[in-house]
Amino acid sequence: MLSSSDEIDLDALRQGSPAEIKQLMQRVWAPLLIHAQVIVGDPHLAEDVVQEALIRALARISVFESRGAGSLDAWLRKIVINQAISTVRSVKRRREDALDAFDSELDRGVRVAKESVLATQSVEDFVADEQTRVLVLDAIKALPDSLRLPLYLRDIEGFNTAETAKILEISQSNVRTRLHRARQVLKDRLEAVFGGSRP
Amino acid sequence: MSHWMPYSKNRFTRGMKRQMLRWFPGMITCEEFEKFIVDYLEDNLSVSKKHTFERHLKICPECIDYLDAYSKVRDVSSASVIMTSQHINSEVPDDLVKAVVDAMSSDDEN
Repeated sequence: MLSSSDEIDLDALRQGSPAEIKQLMQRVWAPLLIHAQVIVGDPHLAEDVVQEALIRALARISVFESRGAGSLDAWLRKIVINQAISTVRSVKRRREDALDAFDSELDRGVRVAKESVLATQSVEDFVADEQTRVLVLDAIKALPDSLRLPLYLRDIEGFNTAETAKILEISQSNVRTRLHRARQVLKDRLEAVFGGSRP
Repeated sequence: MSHWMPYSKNRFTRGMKRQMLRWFPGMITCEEFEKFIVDYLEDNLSVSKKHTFERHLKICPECIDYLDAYSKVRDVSSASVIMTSQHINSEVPDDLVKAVVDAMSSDDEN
């Protein structure tokens, strides 16, 4: 969730106060950028997505109805997610290239452990290290669109299968299949980086 | 479908597993087990299918390890995004605030 510690004066925001807009941007920019990067898989494209989504969202801030702390951030995140998914749909790129690049990175010797830390460490300990998180996010971004989007919506954003199917306009069965494949590929790639004993 | 083929390190366990898969009714193979994973983790399996799934887990240490790592991948993905978004520092583009102000004022005019 995005931090909502700095309260925004909604009235001032609606009136277009530059100071209030700047405060909001400073609060939401980085977290939204991470989500957009994971969805579109490209950092530069993600910046464009977040900028465009924020501009469009705040241009119609009048339709936003506050439902308490954090609701403005959640509203903006939803708009960014929709914008990012639309972008992925409209930009036909060969995600396999990214997968190849990730594999090349492995070949250059990024391995940091021989034992499977996935098996021996708790999730909290595993992601405590910033470099580890970067590698996990890189592995997710390198997934093909068809696998990355279901994984993002189900495992990261917490949508259920029916909601994910509706957003991606595919069947629920297809969501399950793609989700399973995404987790398999991600597991294999993380074990390739961090070590893991394939049975 | 699976590219992953379980292989027990322990010869006795491997033999027992083979015999149970062959002779006991209601047993599933490791490949069939894999097909149930998503629904098992979402608690979407019927009672009988859930029992079948868990019966396989009792005789297959490889699938226990696989399920554990698979579940952790799911949790690690989520935790990595959440923690990164909480700790990252990324400067807001210089012209974004101005672009938002301009968009809001032009929207007001419309």
